[in-house]
Amino acid sequence: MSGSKPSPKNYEMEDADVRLMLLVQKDDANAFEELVSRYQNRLLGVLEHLVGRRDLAEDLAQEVFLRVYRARARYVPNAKFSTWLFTIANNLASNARRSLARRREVHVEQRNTDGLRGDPLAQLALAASGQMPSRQLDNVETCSIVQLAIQGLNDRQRMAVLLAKFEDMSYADIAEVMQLSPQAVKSLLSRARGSLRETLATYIQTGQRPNTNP
Amino acid sequence: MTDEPHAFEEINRLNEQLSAYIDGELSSDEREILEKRLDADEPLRRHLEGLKNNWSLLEQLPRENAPSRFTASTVGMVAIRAEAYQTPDDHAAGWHIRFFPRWLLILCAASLAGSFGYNATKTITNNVPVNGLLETRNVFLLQNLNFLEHFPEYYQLGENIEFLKNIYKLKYFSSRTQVAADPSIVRQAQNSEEQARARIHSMDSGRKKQLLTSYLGFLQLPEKEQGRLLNLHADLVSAPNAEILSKALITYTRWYQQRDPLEQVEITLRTQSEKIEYIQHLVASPPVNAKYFSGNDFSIVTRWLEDVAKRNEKKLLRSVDKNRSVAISRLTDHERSRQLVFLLVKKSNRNQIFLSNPVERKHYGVMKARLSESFQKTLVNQPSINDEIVLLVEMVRRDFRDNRFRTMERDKRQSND
Repeated sequence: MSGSKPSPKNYEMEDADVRLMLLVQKDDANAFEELVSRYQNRLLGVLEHLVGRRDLAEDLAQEVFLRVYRARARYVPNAKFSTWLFTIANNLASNARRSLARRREVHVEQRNTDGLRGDPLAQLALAASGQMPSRQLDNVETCSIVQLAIQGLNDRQRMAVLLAKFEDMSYADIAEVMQLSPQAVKSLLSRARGSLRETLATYIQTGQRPNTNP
Repeated sequence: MTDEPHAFEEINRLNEQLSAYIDGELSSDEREILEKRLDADEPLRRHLEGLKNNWSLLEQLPRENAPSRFTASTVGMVAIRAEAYQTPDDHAAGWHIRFFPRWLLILCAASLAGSFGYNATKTITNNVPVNGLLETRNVFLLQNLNFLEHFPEYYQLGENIEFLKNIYKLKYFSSRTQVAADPSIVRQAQNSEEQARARIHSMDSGRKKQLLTSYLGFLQLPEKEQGRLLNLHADLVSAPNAEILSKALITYTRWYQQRDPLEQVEITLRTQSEKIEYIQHLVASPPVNAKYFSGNDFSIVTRWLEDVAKRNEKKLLRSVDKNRSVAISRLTDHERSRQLVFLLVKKSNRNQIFLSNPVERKHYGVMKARLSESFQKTLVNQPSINDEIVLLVEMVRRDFRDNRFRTMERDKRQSND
C-alpha cells in the first residue's frame, strides 16, 4: 500500500494538473479549458460505464466540470487532481444512478416483461446455454460480454474496477475517491475480480479454465 | 473437522492477495511469500492466470472519445451556469468571486459564440487571459462574424446560390427584396477584424445572445456541413450581384419561417427545380388554413412507424454495422424501439424498401384512416401513396432532427402504456 501522503507542496510540484487547477483558481480561463480538454475522455469513459448511458455520461461530465469550477476558490491541493476530480464524479454518478433508478421504474417493468433482454446475467446465461450458435466469440461478442460482465458488478465494484483498470489508480487513491479504506478497496477489487471471473471465464474460451477455487 | 468459516476467510484472503499482486499493491514481503507459494502450487498459478486474463479482457470495453464540440460546449455551459447561478459559497468568497465568473463567460463567449474580442476580454475581466486557443477562436469569430450573424438564414436555406438566383426571379420575391431586406451581409462582410470587434462591442445583449446561439448551433454541425455553409456565404459575397442575392436570402428565409410546418416539409422534400415551382405555386395561391401536424396525428404516425420498425427489426439491424446492431439489440424495449424508428426513418427517407410490401401498405391504410380529416386531405393531395409516405417520413425525420415533440410524445405514450 502507499505510504504517507506527500505534502500539498509536493502535489503542486508533482502533478501538472494540480498546477493547472491552481491557475484556474487564479482566474486563468485557458487553464480551465485545458483541464476540460485533458480529462473529458477519461471522465466520459468512466462515467459511461458507471451510468450505462452515453448522453447521461456527457451531462454528468459537464456537471463534474461545473463543480470543479465552482469549487475553485476552496480548492486545496491535498491530493492528485485526478483523485479529486474522480471523487466529484463518483459522488455525482451515485446521485444520478439513484435518481435514474427512481425514474426508470417503468423501464424496469418493461425489462421484466421482456424476459431476458436487458438483464446482463440472464443474457450471459443464455450464451452459456448453447442457444448461441458458437462459443468462439469474436471481438464484438467479447466486447459485449465484457460490457455485460461489467454491468453485472455492483456500483462500487464497477467504480473500483474502472479506476484501477483505466485510471491506473493506486488503492490509496481509489480509497480516497470512494471514501473507503485502502483495505476495503483491496477487498472490493478482489470480489469484483471474482465476480468477473465467474461471468467471463465460462464464456470466453481461453484454452485454460481456471479452477473454481484457488 | 473442517473449520468452514475459517477456510472461507482463508480463500478470501488469498484472493485478495492475488488481486493486490496483479495490481502491484503488495509489500515486498507479501509479494515474496505469495510468489513462493505460487511456485509450489500449480492450480493457484492457473487461477492467477485466469484472473489476469479476465482483467485484460476489460480492455475490450468500448471507450469512445468525447465529441469534438464537447470542450467548447462544456466551457460554455459552465460559464453560463456559473453566471446564472452562484452558490452562497461563491457570494461569501469575496469580491473577486463576484467578478470571477465573467472570465469564464468570456471564455464561453470565445468558445461557443465568441461574442467578445480579445481586447474586450481584457477590459471586462481586468485579467489577461493569455490564451492561444481563445485568440484563435476569436480570430475565427472576427473573420466570420458576418456569416455567424446570418447563420440561421444560411442554415435554413439548405440550398445554393443558384437557388437564390431563381428565387429572385420570382416576381413575389423580387418585388419584396427591393424594399424589405437589409444588404448588411455584403456590406459587413468587408469589415476588418477591428471593425468586427467594434461591432460586437456595440451590440446589445439580445444580439449578443443571438450570436452566441448561432455560433453554438454552427459548432454542433458536422464539419462537412460547416464547410458547405461557409462556402455558400463566400460564394454569395463574392458574386457580382451579391447585394441582390443577400436580399433574396433574407426575404426568402423570412417567408419560409412564416409557412406552416407541413408546407415547410413539402418545400424541403422537393428537388431544387421542383422547389421553385412549388414555392411559386404557394406564393400565387391565396392563403389557406394552416395545416399543422397536430399532436394526435403525430402520435398516430410515430406509433405506426414504431410498428413498422418492429415488424422489420431484423432487416433494419442487418442494414447497420454489427457493433451498432449489437448495441441496439441490447437496449430496453423502449430505447430499442426509438432507435429502430430512427433507423427506419433514416433509411426510408428516399427509399421505401421497408414500406413497399403489401402488408405494410395495408397497415398504412389503417393508420391513415385514423388521421385527422384535414391531415388526410393533405395526404390525398400527394400524387401517389409513395409521395404520401415520403411526406410522412420526412416530417418525422425533421422531427428527429429538430428534436421537437419527441420527449413529449414519448412521455405521453409511456404514461398511456
